[in-house]
Amino acid sequence: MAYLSMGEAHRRITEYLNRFHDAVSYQDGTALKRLLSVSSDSPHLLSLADALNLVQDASRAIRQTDKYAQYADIILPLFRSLQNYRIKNLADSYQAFEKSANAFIQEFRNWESAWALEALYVVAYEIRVLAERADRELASVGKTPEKLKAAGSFLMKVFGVLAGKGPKRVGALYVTCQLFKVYFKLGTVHLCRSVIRSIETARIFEFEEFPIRDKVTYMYYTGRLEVFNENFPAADHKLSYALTHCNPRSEANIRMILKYLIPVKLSIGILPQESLLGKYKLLEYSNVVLALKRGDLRLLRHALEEHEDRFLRSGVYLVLEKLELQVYQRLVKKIYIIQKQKDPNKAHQVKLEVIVKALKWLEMDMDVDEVECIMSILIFKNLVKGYFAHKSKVVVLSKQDPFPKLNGKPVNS
Amino acid sequence: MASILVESGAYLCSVLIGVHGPVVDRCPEEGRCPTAMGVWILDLGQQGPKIRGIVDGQQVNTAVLTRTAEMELSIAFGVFSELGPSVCCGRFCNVPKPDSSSFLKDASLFLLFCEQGDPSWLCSAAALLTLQRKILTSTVEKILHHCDFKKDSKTISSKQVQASDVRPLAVLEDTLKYLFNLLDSTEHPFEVVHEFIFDRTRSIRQDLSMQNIIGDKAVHLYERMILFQSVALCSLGGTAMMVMAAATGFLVVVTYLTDEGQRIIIGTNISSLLTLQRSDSLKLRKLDLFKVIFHVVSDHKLRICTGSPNISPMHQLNMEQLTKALTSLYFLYEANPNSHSFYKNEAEFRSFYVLLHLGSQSQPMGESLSLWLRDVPHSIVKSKEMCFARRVLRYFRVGNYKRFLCTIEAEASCLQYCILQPYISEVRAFAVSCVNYGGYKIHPYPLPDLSKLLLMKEVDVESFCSDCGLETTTDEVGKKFLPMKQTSFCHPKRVFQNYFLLDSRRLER
Repeated sequence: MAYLSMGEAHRRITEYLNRFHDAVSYQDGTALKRLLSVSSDSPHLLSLADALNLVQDASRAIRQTDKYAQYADIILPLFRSLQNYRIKNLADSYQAFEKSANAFIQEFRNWESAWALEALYVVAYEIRVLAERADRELASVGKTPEKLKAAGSFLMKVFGVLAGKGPKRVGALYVTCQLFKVYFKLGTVHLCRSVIRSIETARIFEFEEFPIRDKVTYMYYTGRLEVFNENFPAADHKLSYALTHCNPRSEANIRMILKYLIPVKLSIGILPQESLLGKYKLLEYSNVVLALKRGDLRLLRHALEEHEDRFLRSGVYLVLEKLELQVYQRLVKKIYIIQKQKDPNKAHQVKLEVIVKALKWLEMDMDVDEVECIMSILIFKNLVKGYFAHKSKVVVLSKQDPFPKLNGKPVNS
Repeated sequence: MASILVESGAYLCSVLIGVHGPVVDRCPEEGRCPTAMGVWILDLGQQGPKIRGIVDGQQVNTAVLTRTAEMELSIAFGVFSELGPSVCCGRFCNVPKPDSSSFLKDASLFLLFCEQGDPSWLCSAAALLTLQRKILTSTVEKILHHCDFKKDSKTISSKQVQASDVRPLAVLEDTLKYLFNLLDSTEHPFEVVHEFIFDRTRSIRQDLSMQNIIGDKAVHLYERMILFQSVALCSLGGTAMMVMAAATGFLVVVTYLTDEGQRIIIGTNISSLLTLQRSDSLKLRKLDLFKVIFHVVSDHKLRICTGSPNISPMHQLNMEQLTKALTSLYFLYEANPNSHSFYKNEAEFRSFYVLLHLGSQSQPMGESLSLWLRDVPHSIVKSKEMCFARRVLRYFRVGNYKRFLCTIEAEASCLQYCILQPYISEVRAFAVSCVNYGGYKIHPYPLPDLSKLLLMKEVDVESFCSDCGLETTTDEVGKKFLPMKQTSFCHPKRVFQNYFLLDSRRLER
């Protein structure tokens, strides 16, 4: 680090204080937000942090001047947060930032218009990011990571401040999305319910009023929740919305949406093209799609096993496992097609033994009773039209559309 | 705070245990400010709930509750209020003399007997034990007991424990072995044997706790005690439990503070052993293991008692406790990742979560299975027990009733089987509906084949079909069939025990 004189250090601090004062006085949210982004590693804030670490105690400079003193409760802990961030004391940095953020919220509440919303977004973002980093630091030294939980509580408070009739309410969805990220990270996803209820049922909120980027993020997370709960029509609607409205240049975001949308689409009988999987690097789904096309149960099982960890971590494993019934349907359909080519008059009668044999080729060991069980399920769930004759061990398929398509609806539960 | 429920014929009472901090603000009669140490009884009188007890060796007849205690009391009260609080007066139990060598063995067993309008009196712990034994074998619904109040009795603290009072680990192991051999005894009725073992296993647990014995041997002892306790509970007829419950009014708990400031709370109800130590997580894990096993088996037991897969409120209470115990246990597993990354029984206890969440409607722990599986360690996911649970889950979700039933029959452990029982009945109903729907109308389905498919005795299959609204027929030679394509299928409203048990020699053993 280049030599920094005390004079230069004081100059940097004073410059920051002036910028802060001017931003608030002129209600310049854009200018203000740049002064609050601790984790951005901006050259300006890093050099300020160096200055603070040299001066050590900037409180005198602040309290001596009235125009700065009124923001002391925000700025002093913010300075501490920057100092700690610079020397990588992330837990202390978070703690100080939270104090600053609390003071900021008090002021924000008193500002009538929504001029400082952008700055508030930065505060909400920083509180989450600093908390995540602080928790990583705490866990690495064997301590209990608790900062992200605290950040969640803070964000709920912020949500409460925004949930009013005034113009500030359009910021509520951004904060909601930050909360989602916190809860998903913590694994306390059930806590999303209360904020979702507020957004979707409170009369003060009009969904279309919110900024598009927040709506996309919101639909992405709520869509994921629907996937976890296996509510496929709702998941399809939300994730498709997110996909349609996502910035087309944002390949990473599109990939994240597709990661959950593909299993949903598969569950309702819609298969993606291989080119899509390749473009967005989602090739873990390739063999799953192929298994569905071929009726290859062995391939499905292998695909699930090969990517088990990845599918379990993203929470789609159980969804993919349930595709088994569609794979069986496809297998029986292939047998029917082959039989039709040999003898169209008898194609609709499929001996259970033939299915047993086909499964054996796929290294799936099933006896006639189990195959009959599978056929009874396929018939019950309307994946196959027909009936089975237990005595003669035969499935008799309907001559009209024996293998109904799902047509965008999940298999009957 | 934990609370204990005793169902006692017309009397329903609740006792607080585990109050933190002073329970009473003041004692008008005594003019002192007592601490929480002592024997506490909650009296749900007509005038409102009152705490009565023996504090620091002095009897406290009336007390005004602190706000905390009042709040906790009202929560406990509220939980049981739907079951109907009743008017009862308390009779106090003496805290045995400090030099009593049997104190720690018997400390958790204090029974109060309620009788409307009865004046206060006290009885000795030993007399109560005898009485409890009598109750188990007696058909008398209420027994009163009169004893003298020992005025000089003080609440024992750990300082007053004598070295001769505690037994080393090896002795405890031998004691347990001896006790288990008694289970096969035919000399006494099972209820008496059970009560004897019940007391002594509790005593062993207290010895373990008092001596802070931890480690694999202690865990092993706990788990064996729990399993036997649970099996014994299963073997106890519902009648015996109700007789015991009918005869007793209150249960008493003892709280005492150790020198280290640990609050030790001991309490008991008829079918639960609850000793909570606010100490390190390893000890808590043992107790949570214990609680989980108890509640799994209680669930099974309750179901068998009345033949319903769901009994409220006892079933609901038990399920609540089971999920709480599981939550605590998982927390402890995660809280000690460095000390022991893979506890011996962790895989099985983790598998319970999967088995409790087979159906989309059943989310007793409030989180979807997909979410939960995200955070399970890889070694657990790949364990034998979890692989079993995941396969059962897959068969259930796909509807593969054949594999579902066969896999449980072939591989389920005792506790896994207990948890899966409600689903067995559900899957059988699904199987019957599939067969009925998809079968060829002209060829009825032979009941012997259905019996093999459902792993049920033929006579039970017939009854099951009937409860599903389906008729069965008999041919000229007496063979029974289920006609296909009946339109009257419904889910069985009444569920007999055999509907959720598998016809399996392995599982019967």
